[in-house]
Amino acid sequence: MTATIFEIKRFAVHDGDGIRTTVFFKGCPLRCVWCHNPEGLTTAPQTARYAHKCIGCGECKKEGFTPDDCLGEATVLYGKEVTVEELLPILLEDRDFYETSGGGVTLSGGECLMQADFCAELLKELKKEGIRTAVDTCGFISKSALDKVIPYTDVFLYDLKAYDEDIHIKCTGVSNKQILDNIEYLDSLGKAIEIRIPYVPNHNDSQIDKIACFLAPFKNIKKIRVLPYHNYAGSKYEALSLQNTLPDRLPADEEIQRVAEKIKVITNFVVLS
Amino acid sequence: MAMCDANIYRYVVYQNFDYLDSLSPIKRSSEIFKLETEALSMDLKKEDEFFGWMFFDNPNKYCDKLFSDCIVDEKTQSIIQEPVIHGSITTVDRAHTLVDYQYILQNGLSSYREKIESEMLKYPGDEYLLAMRDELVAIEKLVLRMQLAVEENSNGCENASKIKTALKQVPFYPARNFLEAIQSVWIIHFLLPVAEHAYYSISLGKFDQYIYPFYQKSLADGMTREEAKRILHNFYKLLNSYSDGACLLNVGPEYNELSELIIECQREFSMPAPILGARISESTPDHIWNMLIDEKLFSRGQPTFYGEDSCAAALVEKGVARDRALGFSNNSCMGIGLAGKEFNSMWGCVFSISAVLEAALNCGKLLHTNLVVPGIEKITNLCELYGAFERSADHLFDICMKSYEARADLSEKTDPDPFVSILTDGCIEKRCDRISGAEYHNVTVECMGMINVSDGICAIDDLVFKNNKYCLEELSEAVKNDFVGYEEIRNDILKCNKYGQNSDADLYAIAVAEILQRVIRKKDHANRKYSPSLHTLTANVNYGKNWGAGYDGRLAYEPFAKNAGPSDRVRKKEPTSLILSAAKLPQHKFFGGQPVDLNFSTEIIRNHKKEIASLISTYFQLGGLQLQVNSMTSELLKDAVNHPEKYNDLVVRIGGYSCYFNWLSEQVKREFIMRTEIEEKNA
Repeated sequence: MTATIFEIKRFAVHDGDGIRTTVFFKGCPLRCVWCHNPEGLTTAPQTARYAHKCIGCGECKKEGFTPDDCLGEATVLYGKEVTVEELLPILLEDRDFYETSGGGVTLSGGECLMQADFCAELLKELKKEGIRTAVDTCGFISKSALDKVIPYTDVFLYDLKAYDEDIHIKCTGVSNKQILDNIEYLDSLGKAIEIRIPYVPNHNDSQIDKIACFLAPFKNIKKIRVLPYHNYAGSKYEALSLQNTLPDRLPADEEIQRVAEKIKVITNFVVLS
Repeated sequence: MAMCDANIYRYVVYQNFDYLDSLSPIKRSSEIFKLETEALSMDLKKEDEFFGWMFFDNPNKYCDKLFSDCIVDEKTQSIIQEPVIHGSITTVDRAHTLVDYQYILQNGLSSYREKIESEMLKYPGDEYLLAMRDELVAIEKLVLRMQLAVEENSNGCENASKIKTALKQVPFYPARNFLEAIQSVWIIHFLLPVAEHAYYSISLGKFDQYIYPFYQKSLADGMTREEAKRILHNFYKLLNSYSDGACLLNVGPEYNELSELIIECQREFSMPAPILGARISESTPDHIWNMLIDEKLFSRGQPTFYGEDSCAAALVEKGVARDRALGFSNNSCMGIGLAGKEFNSMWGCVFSISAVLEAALNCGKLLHTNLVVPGIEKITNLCELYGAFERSADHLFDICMKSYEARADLSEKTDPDPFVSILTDGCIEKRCDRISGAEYHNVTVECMGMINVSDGICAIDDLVFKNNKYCLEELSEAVKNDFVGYEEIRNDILKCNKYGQNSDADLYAIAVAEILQRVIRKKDHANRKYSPSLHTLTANVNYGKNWGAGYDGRLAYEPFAKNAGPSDRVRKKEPTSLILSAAKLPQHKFFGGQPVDLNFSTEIIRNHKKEIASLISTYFQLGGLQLQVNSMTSELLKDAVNHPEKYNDLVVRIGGYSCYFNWLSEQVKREFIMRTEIEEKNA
C-alpha cells in the first residue's frame, strides 16, 4: 500500500505536544480561501518553480532531470509516493526527542484521512513502536474513515472553520455538517481532541461565538488553539501557477488575544493562540 | 576605550628597553609586571560598590626591538613557520586563564606567599621564586595605592568605608563576605591579562558555586538581594570595559539562589560580558530551563549550554581521574578544564585538514604548493584512502607539533609569567613557569575544515570508488581549477550526502575524526596534552579565504564548516538531524571542544521552551559537549533580505505554519521583520 505525501517536517512544534515529526499527505476535500498549504490540495503530484531561488546550475536543462537534481531547490516536486516501510524509519529517527519532550508523530496535510487505510496502517506501526500519535484533520471525512484510525490515534488535532453552514461553504467550498457530527462522534468515544480555529478577518470572524457555544458542552476537548491567519503562502501559489485566493487583511495580535479570551470565557477550556 | 590593554606592556617596554634588556628573562618578567602595576592610574567613582577602575591611558608608544634573548636562529625560525606552508598555524596562546578562585577566596594570596617563602628557605636565591615573590610585592603595593585612593575618596563614594575594610582583607587574606569575595575576584581577574599580556577570554570558572557561601553569609548578616545585585552590576560594568568580554562564567550544575540571581542579572544588564556557561544535567530544574531559554539572552547568543556528564567523560578520556574530572570548570571559548592546574593554549594549533586530504589523494602532493608528503602512494579504494590520510595527517601534524614545541620553549625561556605560575598548582614547588610546570599544558588542535574533508571523502567514495563515474585525477583537476570548466563534476558532488543530515555521510566524519584524534593525541609528552577540537568560532571564514576549493564542492575562498556544524552546502538543516549527526562524532575524544550552533525564532523561544530544553538535553544525553544558541533577530533577518544566498536554510515560523524565509515575498519579509522588531522591543 502506498500514499502520496508532499512533505515530512522534523522538529515540528506546532502540530501537537512536544517535538514531533509531521507527515503532510497530499489531497484535500476543502478549498479554503486562506489555505497556506496549496501544494497539498490535489492528490496528483505537482511541480512548483520558485524562480527567485534558481542558482543557474543548469541541471534542469539536462535529459532525465528530476526536481531532486535542482541544486538551488528552485524546482520542487510536491507529491511523492511512499510505503509504510519507507516512512517508518524516517519517523523513528527523532524518537529520542519524542521521548524527552513528550512529542511524537503527527499526520497532517492536505487531509490525511483521504488516505485513511494507509494512515491506519502507518499509525498502527507507530503504536507498535510506542510512539505517541496525532492526526490533524479538517473533519470532512466519513465515519468509517475515522474509525480506521481511531484505535491508533492518541489525539486528534481537529480544525473547525465555521459554525454556520453557509459561511462554511463560502469559505471552504463544502458543508460543515459532517465536520460537526464527527466532533460529536469523537467526543462520545472519549478521544482526546485539540480544536484548531483559523481566525481569518472578514471571513470567519463572525463565527467565533457560535463555534465556542458549540464546543462548550464537549468533554474530551483538551485545548483550543486559535491560529491567526497569515499570508506567507503567497509565493507558493505563484510557484504552482495557482490563482492566489489569499485574503488581504491580517489579524492584529490584540484581536487574536481578544478572540482567545472570548472562547475561553464561553467554553472554559484551555485556549492558546 | 578599554580600561587597560596591551599598550601598557608596550609602553613599559618602550620606556625601559635598555634596562629590561639587561635583565635575565625571569627577572625581566617580574620587573615588567611591577612597572605595569605602577603605571596604572585608578579611580573610585561615587556610585562604586567596590574598588575596580584601573586605567592605563598613556599614548600608544612601543618599540619594535626584540629583547636580545628573544632573537631566534634561522633554523628555529623555519621550524616555527613551517606549518604555514600547508595552511596550519601554531601559537602559544596566553589567554584563557582559569585560576582556582575558590582556593584564592578561602586562603588569600598570602597562602601562596607562604608557600613561596618556605620554598625560598630550601632554595635561597632561586630566580623563579624571587620573581614570584616580587610580583606579589608589586600587587601589595597596588592594593596599598587603592587603599589610599579610597581614603582620599575625591568623588565622595558612599561605600568608601566598606571598600576600605575590604581592601585591608582581600586579595591577600580570605574573603569574609560577598563584597570582599567580588572585590578579590575582580583584582585577580584584572591582573591576569596584565601578567599574560593577553587581554582576552579570561574565565571566571564556577562563579555561582564558589561565591555562594559568601553570598549566603552576607544575606544572613543583613545584605539584601538588591544590594547583591548592585555589586554584581558594578562587577559586570567592569568586566565589560576590560578585555574582550569573552570571559565565561559557569552556572550550575547545581543551581542555587545565586545562580538564579546571576541569570536574572545577565538578562537585565544586557551586556556582552560575561558569557554565561550553563551546565546541564538530568536534574536541571524546569524553572532554571525557563530562565535560560529566554529570547533576550538567545538574541545575544547566550547562554552557552554544556553537558555535565559528557564534559566530565571527556576529561576522563583525557586521562583525568573520574572524581577529579567531576570538578571541572568550563573555560572561555570551549575548554573543559581543571581550575588552577592547567596552561591552556586554546588556539595552540589550527591544523589544516584540507591539506591532509589533498596530500592523501595526490601521492603526497598538495594542489597549490610545492610541499610533498613522503611515502603516500596512489590510492584505489576507500581503505587505502584512509590509510594515506592517516600517514599524511601524521606527517603534517608532526610539523605543527615541532613548531608548537619550539614556540612553547621560546615562550618559557624568554617570556615567563611568574604571577600566573603562582596561581597554577605545582609551579611554586617546581620553581618553574606554568608552561612546563602546570599539570596539563593543553594545546588545542583545531581541525579546520574537517567536516568539508569528510564530505569530500563521502563524495569520492560515491563518485569514484562505488560508481566509477569519475576517476580521482579528474576530481583533483576539478578541485585544483576551482571547478571552472568542471561544473558537471561539482554538481554531482553537491548532490552527494553531507554530514549534518543524519545520513550515511556521518560515517565518513566519524572515520576522519577517529584518525585525527589518534594522530594528534599520539604527540602527548610530559605535561603536553594535544587536544583535538572542532572549534572554529568565526575563523572558518578567514581560513577558508586562504584555501582553494575542496572535494566537497566548496569553492575556493568560501568559508569552511563552522564548529561541529555542517558545511554551507547542506541544503536542509533541521536541528534534530544536526544533533543526531553531531552526537555520532567521538565527542569525548575531541576534549578540546566542539560546539554545535542552533538558531531559533523568537516565537519558538517564547512559546516552546520545553521543546528547546528537550532538544538540548537529548543532545547531552547522546554525548554532546557544548551547544551554542542564537535567535533570529531583526538584524539577522535584514541581512537575510540583502544576502538571500547566505540564508537558504533559514526557516521562519508563525502560527501553525513554517517556511523558508527566502520563499516569502519582499513585502511579507518586511512585515515579518517589523513584527520581529516589535517582539524585540517587548521582550
